[in-house]
Amino acid sequence: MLTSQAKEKKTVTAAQATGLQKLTINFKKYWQIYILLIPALVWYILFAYYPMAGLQLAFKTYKAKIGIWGSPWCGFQNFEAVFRDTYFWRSVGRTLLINVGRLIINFPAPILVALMLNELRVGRYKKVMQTVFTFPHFLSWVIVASIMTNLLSIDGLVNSALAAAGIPTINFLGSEKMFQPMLYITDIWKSAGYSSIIYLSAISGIDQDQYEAAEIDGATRWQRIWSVTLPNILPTISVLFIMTTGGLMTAGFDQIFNLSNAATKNVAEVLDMYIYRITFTASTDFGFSTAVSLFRSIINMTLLVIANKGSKMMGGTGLFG
Amino acid sequence: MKTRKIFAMLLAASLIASLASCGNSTDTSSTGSSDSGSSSSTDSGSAESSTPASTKTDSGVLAATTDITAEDILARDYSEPITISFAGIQVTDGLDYNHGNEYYEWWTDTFNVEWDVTSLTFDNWVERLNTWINADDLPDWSVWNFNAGDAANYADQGLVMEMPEDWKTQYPNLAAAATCSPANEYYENLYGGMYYFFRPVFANNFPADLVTNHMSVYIRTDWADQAGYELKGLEGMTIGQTEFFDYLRAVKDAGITEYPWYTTSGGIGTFLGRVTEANGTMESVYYKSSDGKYHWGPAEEETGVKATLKQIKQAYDEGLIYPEFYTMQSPDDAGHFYASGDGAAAIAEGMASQFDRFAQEMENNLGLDFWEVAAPLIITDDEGISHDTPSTNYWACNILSPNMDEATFERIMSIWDYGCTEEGQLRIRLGVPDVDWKYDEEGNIVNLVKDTEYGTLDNKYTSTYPITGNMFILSDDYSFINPGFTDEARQRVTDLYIRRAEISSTIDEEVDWDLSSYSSQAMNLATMTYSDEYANIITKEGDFDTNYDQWVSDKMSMIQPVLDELNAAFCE
Repeated sequence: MLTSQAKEKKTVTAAQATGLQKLTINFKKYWQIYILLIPALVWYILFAYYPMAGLQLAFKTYKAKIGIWGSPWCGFQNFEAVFRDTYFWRSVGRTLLINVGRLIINFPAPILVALMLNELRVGRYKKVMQTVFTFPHFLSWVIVASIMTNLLSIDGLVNSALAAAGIPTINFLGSEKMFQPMLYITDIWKSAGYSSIIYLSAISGIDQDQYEAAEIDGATRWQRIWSVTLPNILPTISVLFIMTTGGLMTAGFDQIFNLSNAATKNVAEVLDMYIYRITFTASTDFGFSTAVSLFRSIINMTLLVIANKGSKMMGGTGLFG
Repeated sequence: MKTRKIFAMLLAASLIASLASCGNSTDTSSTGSSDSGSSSSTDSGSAESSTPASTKTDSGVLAATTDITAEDILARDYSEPITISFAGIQVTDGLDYNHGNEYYEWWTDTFNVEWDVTSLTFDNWVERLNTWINADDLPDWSVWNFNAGDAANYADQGLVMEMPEDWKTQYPNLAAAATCSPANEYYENLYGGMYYFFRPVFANNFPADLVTNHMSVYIRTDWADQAGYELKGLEGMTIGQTEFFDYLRAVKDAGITEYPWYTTSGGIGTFLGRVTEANGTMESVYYKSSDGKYHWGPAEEETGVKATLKQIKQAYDEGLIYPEFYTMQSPDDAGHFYASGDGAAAIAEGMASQFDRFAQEMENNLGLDFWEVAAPLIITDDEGISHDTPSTNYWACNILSPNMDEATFERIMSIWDYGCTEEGQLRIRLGVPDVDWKYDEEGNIVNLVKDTEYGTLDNKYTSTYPITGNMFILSDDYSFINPGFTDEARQRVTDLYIRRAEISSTIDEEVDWDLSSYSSQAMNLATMTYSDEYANIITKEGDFDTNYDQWVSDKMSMIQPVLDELNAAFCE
């Protein structure tokens, strides 16, 4: 039996425990829950961290027979070749341009969808709408591209309707000017509904008393959205904004590969397409491709850190709280 | 020791005698590609050809006079069952290449093998095979779109199998057939061993003196009549580039169809390839000019690329070409010619099998007699010259995994060797003896499939490709005499090859081996799909000359380093 002095000493020790000690205490207390983490950890180690070892290829001349580890080092030779290529820099610029547009146009879309769905009062209708908005997410870009071709081609549905109305047809698929807007529209159509789930879940966690209080104060629906809903989901918005910023150098290969064609190729060669061209349409050069990939990851990481800091400096939430 | 030397000399002598059937293959002519359909294009130039064989047999198939006969090959011990993994394009998904198909069963039963087949497509075969090769995980046997840039590296690293030194004596029928493409000898010497088996397009039945690219344009002669347009080159089986667009214009003006030419970006590239030089669509974009230096085709007026593109651009703006041709996939473009019947022209393979296919489709879909309403023609420039590139008579090559066991290797080689014998060729081309064909009393071959409900061997067995049909010698060779094709088709393809050889731009040209086998990082970075580049220029708004010149100056930043390298390496 512990004396009261000993009990006091133990309490003091627990209070003063370092982070590692806290973790140990926590682990002992909730070990069953920590065990549930193991599959996810194994997945991350196997498929996210272990493959990172392959990044060394950026500094090597890849020799398949002796593998990644055995291939000879070549210093910064691959990077020198990458940075000399004007088409690389163009693809970087194009990637950033498309993604900044996405950040401005596409990022708010799921928030708007979530806010709109939240305002629907008939439960069944709300569920139906949510399903309708979410469904396109499960279509592959190959299917979406083929739908778009059928809709927007010169003899497709849209142009047929225009022609029937006596309006001149529009070359949607072959226009460089329309390519970027088409990326945004198809992306919103496909992903906004699915991405809104996370905001809907944040909204569902808002204390209903706040809405009741606002209602008693005579707040209109717009005012309730502006003054109650949005401030409450701001931390979620911040985290997702930071994560989106961290992906500014990744433009979505599947979408662009499937929606682009020879007529729009000049505005479609983003970094992913550039890597694909260099890796698979010419002689294979894995060192070169890895150097481009590593460069992209470093920029993405830098942007992520900057966005995280920025968010914190402005009093918002960072990725880690 | 002395006895072994004498024996080796005797073997060498007998081999030399056996190779005579293919003739000397280093003086060359131009591009040929497979009857099965496609031609590959690389920026460094690939599909190539040689002088055709000089010896013919009664049945017209390759008859290598070797000391190992078909009977000898079949008499070998195949008691150990072997599974062979195979990856290739032209594989028919869902087709059982092992059972329930008499054509294939003979091969699997006789050689006691099971095929483990992986289907590749023209869209993915380059990237999938390159990935497998670089992962040292090749199927036992693959058909690879040869790329000199990778080939040297793969051979150097041992990522593809190097043949044992005695392979020519062990498999003499294969060795004889290999001489039909000089690429085999050239690259064997270059890499210090045999790694790549370049599959000869023509071996022994070629009717002309010069191998040329068969890509042709199909024209509706009845529509030309209806529009009151006289096709001047019809008798000579040619159509000039300006005449072609005039014909399209006449058909459109007559209100016969809205868009006379349904094509693909590749189709535009093929057209350009036949009327200009060094355009990068089906041959190398780099060439040595009269000044002895290497140049980039699109930047030079003498190649005609810019002028022809301007002509195509004008046709596009006039609505002679389907507005969204760049989204069209082959063979949908040809489908407008033979199925929906609203196309006045189609660019497609000019082979016997293709003529029969067009004829059958036109009859089934439009109720028209192909030979009465249409004509496959040679595309020429306005001087009447059909442009081509000197080539080495092959289309894609066979490669073997370096990791397979000896028994599997020997089985594959035996199958290839048998496939190159006269008996093997007859079985491949005509099917099962006494079921699909037989000899009549006078020793002539009688095709037993032609008049059945199937009509062709491919219809009867779903596909004779890719394991047998294009095992090594490609199907093009036998198509000139194959009784499975109609007389009209065989006659036409023979006439077209003879005519094309007469008007080819490559009559006195030789293969530029330095260029063909050259590779570098600069060349790699300068790789582009030229047909897509041209499609982009054609569809671009604004002044053509300004757009084109801008494109050329834009690309020169990556092209110039390649030219500098080539000139430094190969020019004085």
